[in-house]
Amino acid sequence: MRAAARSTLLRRSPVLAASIRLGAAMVLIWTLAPFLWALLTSFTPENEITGEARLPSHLSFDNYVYAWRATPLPLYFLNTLIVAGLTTALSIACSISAAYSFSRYRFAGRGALILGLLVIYLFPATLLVIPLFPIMRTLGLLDSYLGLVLAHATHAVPFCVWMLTGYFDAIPRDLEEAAELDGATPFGAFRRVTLPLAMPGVAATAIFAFLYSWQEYLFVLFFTTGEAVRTLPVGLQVFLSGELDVRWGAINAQSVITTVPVVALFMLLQRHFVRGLTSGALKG
Amino acid sequence: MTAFALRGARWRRRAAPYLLLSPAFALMALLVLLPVASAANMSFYNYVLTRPWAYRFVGLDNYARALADPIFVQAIGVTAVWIAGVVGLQLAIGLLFALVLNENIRFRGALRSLVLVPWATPSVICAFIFMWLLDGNHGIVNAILLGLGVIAQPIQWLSTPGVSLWAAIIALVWHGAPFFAVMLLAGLQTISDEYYEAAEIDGAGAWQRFRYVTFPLLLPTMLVTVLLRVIWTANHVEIPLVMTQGGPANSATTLAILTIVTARGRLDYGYAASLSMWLAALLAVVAVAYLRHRARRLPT
Repeated sequence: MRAAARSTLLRRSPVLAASIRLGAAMVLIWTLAPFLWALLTSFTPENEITGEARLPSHLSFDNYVYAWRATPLPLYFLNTLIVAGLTTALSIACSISAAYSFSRYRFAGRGALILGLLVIYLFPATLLVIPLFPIMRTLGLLDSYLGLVLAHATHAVPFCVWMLTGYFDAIPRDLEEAAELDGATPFGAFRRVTLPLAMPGVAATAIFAFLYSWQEYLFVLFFTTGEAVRTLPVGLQVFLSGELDVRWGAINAQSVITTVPVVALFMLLQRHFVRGLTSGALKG
Repeated sequence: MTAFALRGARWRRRAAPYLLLSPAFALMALLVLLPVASAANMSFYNYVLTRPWAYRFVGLDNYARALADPIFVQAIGVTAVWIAGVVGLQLAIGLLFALVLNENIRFRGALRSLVLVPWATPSVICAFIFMWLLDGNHGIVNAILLGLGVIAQPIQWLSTPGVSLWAAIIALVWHGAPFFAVMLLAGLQTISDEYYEAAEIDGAGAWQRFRYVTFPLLLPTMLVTVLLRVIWTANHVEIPLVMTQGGPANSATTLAILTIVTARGRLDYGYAASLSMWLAALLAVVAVAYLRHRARRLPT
């Protein structure tokens, strides 16, 4: 990305400059207003939630206490941490291996396999849950962490392989070759020289896998029949649909608790994430 | 080293790249390729989980049944509106975002980061947020519209046929527009200054610069992103499912949602498998176009 943006319009005329600034303000409002309103509602005492555009008389943590103590939120949160964590570990392990192969080797069928990866990525979860449900049931993997982790990791792997291949490609092989001259094996050179240099990219890829697993809905919906291993998205939705008297304050508190960790993680490494998304692999 | 050991070493070197690929591809073979084959197979059977005694081969019956099913036909129309609405609005808003973020305004860096917040928000949470914003009785959107005098009565966003689909569209547009913004911004930044300078020397105004320089040079990026999003949007179920459960009278039931509801609600997996095959076939045109474009630009 270029360091300085082109001021193609700003310096031309004051009218355009004002329009740009207005546009920027609208971008900000459109982007943040929905979430900020949900955030505000979550801190609003339940009896003051009437939906009028008015600020609450005082901020209160009651909704958060209720969400944490009186709903299954802690269970869902723990399950989501476990599933997302294991998914990330499995995805990264498989993807580093595959990306190393694509990046550092030239072999017959390489191009076809890369294209195959893309084809596989295009198969949606919607199509896959239908046949996978009976398969998972037969294998006894319903309501298990393993079933969910396998499904999530499989979907995350193609994208992770792309991102990592791009990151590895960006690091010149000279460094590895120098290490090999000093007696290291090819993979040892990769592990000790290139991998540390690629750490930001690996971290960004890991975050992607984690984020995907955290918010995945369809596989968890089909592969869990009870609450035992349910993750946040499905758990909260089932909870909401079962409530006769919806407490919007608590629902919004649940939303905030579910969102803040992943948004924070995302913001931390979004620069790398965006770079992986828009460089080489996916950009036209 | 003996000749035998040397041959072993050479074999290991030749096999190395394939061995390194095997964990990832084994996973995908088992959990993607196998299920897809299984789904295709399943679609030719009468396979209802609650009626295992009726399990039998029925050939193309499931596919024919879909064509005669009014809900299926309705779902195709709903899917068309869904895709056009979501991708169209995401493209328009994403383009506006990208154009604004390309300019040298103050806090540009912070704005570029903040723009990604909706995309980082879990899609089910986006559904919850908009269910709250658009709630018929307590939603802030109704309050604002009533206060401004735009409407006289609160709109029941999620329980009115025809409107519930658009509620879901708005939520997904909010969630996904940043993706377009990111891709288009990257595309904008590859357009060299020289083009703009040359256009200015020829006397082009701002709109003409956009029309004759920006837009044509951005078109490839736009097309690739649109193709990808069409596929994703057609297959996306979370937001409309959580917000509308298919909407009053199936008015928000896209083909993807019909597939899921058939499987989960009616436990008719044979029919659901055929529906997912129908959806895949309808999207195949888009998928092939995208793959052909990518294949031309494979890394060598």
